[in-house]
Amino acid sequence: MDQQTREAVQVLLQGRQYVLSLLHTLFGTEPAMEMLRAAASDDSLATIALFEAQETPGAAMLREALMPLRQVDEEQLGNIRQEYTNLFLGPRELVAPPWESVYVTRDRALFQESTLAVRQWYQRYGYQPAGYPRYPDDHISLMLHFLALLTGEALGCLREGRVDDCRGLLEGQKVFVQNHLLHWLPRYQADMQKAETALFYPGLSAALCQIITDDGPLIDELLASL
Amino acid sequence: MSLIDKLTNSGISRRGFIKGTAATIGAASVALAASGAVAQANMLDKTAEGAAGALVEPGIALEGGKWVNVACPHNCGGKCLVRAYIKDGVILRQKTDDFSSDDDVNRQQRACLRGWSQQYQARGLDRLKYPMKRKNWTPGNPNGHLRGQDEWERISWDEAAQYIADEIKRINETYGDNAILCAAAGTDVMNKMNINYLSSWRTGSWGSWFAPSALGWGDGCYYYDCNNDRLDMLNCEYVVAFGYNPAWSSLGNATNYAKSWKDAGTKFILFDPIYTDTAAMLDAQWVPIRPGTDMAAMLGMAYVMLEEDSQENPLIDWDFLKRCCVGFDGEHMPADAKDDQNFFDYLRGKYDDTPKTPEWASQICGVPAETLRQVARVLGVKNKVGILSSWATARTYNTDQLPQLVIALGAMGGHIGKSGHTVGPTAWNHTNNFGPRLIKAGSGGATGAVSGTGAATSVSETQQWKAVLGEPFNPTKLWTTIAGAGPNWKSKIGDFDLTRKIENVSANVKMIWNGSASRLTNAEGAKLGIQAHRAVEFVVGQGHFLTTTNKYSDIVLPITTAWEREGTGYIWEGYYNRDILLIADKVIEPYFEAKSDEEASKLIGEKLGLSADMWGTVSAKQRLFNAVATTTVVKEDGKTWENLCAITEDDIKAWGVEGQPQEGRISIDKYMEDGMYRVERKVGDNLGFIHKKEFRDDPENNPIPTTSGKIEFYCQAYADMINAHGYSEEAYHGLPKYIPTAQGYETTYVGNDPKGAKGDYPLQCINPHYQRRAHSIFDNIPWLQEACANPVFLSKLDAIERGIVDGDTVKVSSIHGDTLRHAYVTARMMPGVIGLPHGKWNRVDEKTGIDHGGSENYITGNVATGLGVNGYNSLTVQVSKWDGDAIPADVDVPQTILF
Repeated sequence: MDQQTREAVQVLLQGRQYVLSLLHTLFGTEPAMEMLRAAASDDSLATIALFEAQETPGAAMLREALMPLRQVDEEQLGNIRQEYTNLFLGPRELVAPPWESVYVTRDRALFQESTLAVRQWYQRYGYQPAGYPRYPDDHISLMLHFLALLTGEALGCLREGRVDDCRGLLEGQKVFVQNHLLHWLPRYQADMQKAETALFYPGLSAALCQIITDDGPLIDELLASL
Repeated sequence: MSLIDKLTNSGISRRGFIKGTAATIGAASVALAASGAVAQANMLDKTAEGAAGALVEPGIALEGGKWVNVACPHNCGGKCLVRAYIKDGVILRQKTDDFSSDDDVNRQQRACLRGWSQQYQARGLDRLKYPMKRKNWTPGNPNGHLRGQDEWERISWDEAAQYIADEIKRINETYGDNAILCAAAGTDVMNKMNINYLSSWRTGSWGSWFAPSALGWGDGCYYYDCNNDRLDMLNCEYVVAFGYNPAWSSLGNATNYAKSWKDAGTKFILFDPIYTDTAAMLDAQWVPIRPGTDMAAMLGMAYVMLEEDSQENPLIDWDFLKRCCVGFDGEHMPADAKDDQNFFDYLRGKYDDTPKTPEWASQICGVPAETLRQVARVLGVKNKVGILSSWATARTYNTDQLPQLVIALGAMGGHIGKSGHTVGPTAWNHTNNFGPRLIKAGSGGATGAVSGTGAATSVSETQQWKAVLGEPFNPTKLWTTIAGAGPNWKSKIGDFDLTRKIENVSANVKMIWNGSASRLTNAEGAKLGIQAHRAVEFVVGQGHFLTTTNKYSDIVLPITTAWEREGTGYIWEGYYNRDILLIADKVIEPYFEAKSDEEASKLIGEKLGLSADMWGTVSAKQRLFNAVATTTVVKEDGKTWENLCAITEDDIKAWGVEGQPQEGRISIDKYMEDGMYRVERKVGDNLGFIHKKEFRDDPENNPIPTTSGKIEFYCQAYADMINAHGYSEEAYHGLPKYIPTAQGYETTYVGNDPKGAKGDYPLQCINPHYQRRAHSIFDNIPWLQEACANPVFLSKLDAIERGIVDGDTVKVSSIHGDTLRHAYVTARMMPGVIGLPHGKWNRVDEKTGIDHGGSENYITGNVATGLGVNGYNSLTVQVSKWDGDAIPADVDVPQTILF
């Protein structure tokens, strides 16, 4: 790997870490004005634009989903907050529960065998949810945080010249995405489109699903260049 | 073009571009990080170094987990053994009793479909997860009309506790006594705050078997000794039972034991409006009977026994009557009788010119007179008979004296105090196995709790919603006091002047605090109840799910299930099989933000200045240990007792508690590991029980706790109690006379006259307990919704008359409300009666006020009669084909999920 390629890979890892952190944040907490402004800032949109390509439409979808946030006022924020409450917190039935176990097992319940499998993935890399063991490990926001953290670790390895470790971390993510996120995100995002309002999160979910679908080729490209 | 190519081929300015891009990403990352924290629960922490390994999916390794005993603590009476395989806090498998031996005499303690579903009560998607507040509620501006329809917002436990504490203070200071209605929650806080509050009482499951202690009998729930034990029941030639369906209400051994009697040759005769699964299983003679008319049928049969009894064909046990009973004839009246009417002359029609002939009874109860004669002959003295009255029969209005009549009927045939003969209430309780316990739970000991001086004013559940809406109500504590006192009722009754009617009072209810009782599902008049909830200033609900009741709250609090709670006495003795004692402890951490009821109370108490120590200073673990250590089991002689558990110094250390080593039958480890101890029984052992044997043998020296010490066909004390309440206009007599019940058969006719035309509500409706649920519990579990569809059961005849076919969506209407269900058309239902299963959660269409959920209590009313008996099975309805959209199956309706 020449210097030029290494620098490009580093930038892409840095960008990927940002995009995953952004998604982890947006799915993981009730929206606040500052958060939405940061998400839709010029720097944020420019970072996302790094990943725009014809074969990988996810980045463009994400940018589009974030665009309306640029002019959000307090009233709109209130509405988006209510959308988050209804889609992630209740009380009406959740049209799209944000946990993997709901989609990959026959019984729509939490804390299933698949939850343990996700937990074991985290453990393999030394991570544990801050809410362990009371909160299910397979919340979408936690799973995205996992990818963001591993991407950060991969970046660190590369900077220190530990290319094999970097490779291992990328390969791990690829398997995790294939075996877990890709199993349920298509259904999750499809269910999200049934929401009563579509101010922000249904569009964001569709973008998330596409980004994760695009992820395999991206990781392959990174691996190929290492 | 690949992304890397795009970056590397950006010309001369490549380096600048890469640098610039990195700076942009850096700036975006800093801005994102500064924009606020992600919810803690959605963060991962680095807790260890990563371990390199093959990139294979970890898969589901079952090894490394543990089978643990878990609670199925619900009030269906089974109290069965459930085990869960838990690994790293996650439930991977579930099973039941697979280690005990299983034979005809000693059965395994297997769980039913409800027990198997218990795991989804713990980890259901719809668990309440966070405290939530209704969006348009603020203190002083409740917007009560929006309860049940409003948006919600998440709040912290601290905020929730502060809101609740502030409202308690404000409402108590502004409105004074009885402004807060506590329903199975909050009473501890009220007591400790010295606030006088309102609470509702119920005869609930028992109906009029709630407190038959004045009649000398136990109620079948608090008292174990009101029938013979299950092995003696093998000696019955006949069991004649009323409303007896354990196959639906209490699956498992309660049903199993009845089958063992059948297998031993017992012939069953079941009076019921439904040909039940129990009747089918027991190959019973089915006697279809109209709801609320059992007393008429019993009087008709008593008449036949009296009429046909002769030297050649004796039906009556005169010896038993003369030695052990009063009030049956003029020669044997009790000393305290206020008039001289006796039971036999009442049967003969001396006082009302109406002999209680089977023909008279038949017109009321719908049972052919010939059938009543046939069963009456079975009840004669020559046969070994068990007469079992389930509580369902007694959950009808105005049947307060039904227990008295059941006992009298049994006494006439002498079916009391002998092997193979029994008379008493039965339902799910004690698993169809009566007699003193063979293994007695110990005591947790003192808790160090401070109770406070707050006191409750009681309102009967049959008046509670009207009381909240401002109507005067009866504040009696009479019956609840007696219910708790049992055989000692006479010492408690001294405080009450039974010659005076209890005066009504009013309350100014401004706050409702709901807990586990789920009153908007389980109490009558739920539609009125919703109105009452919308009328007050503040409603708190706490529980596992957004139940029907919690739905109408302003603040809901997520509460732990039994699986998540520290060993606070999950060593049950009450209500179940005398042969066994189960134990279970906490097995998983509380999910999400759930806290126990007690922790919730402490948080709220803290905001009110109450110290947590007021809830006790002895740890839950210590109390559980104390209870286990003092648990005793009877020896083979049936008389002497020993400790169940042997305990060593090491055990005490391992538990981390204080205690003394002791000898015992099994090790404490084994008890905790098995989760159960079962006393082995043998036919003919010393552990059997014959109810009232000592009394029968020597009544003078073994009086029963009636006023006279004998069985009272005429019971003045009981009649005085009923009349003192004043719920009913007309006075009850000392004799158990037939009274047409409120909302009963007669009221299906115009002018309540069965000789005339049918009225607007021509059908009677009962609420059978249903396999899917224990009351309202489990109604939301998809497994059970799929297995048990919860239709309304409708006779073929009534369906044809209304053009209804199986599966049609129908509207069931009463004077109180309307609900939709799918019709299940069957010949197993007595024509003129429908069955709407009990415990269904509502789904009210706010535009029409029609419930789409099939909630039976949405169409019952607040009706108070007699002793204030809950009369769920007294209801008249019309059923019609629904012309709107067909309703979906319950399993296809999305769960109500509150995060």
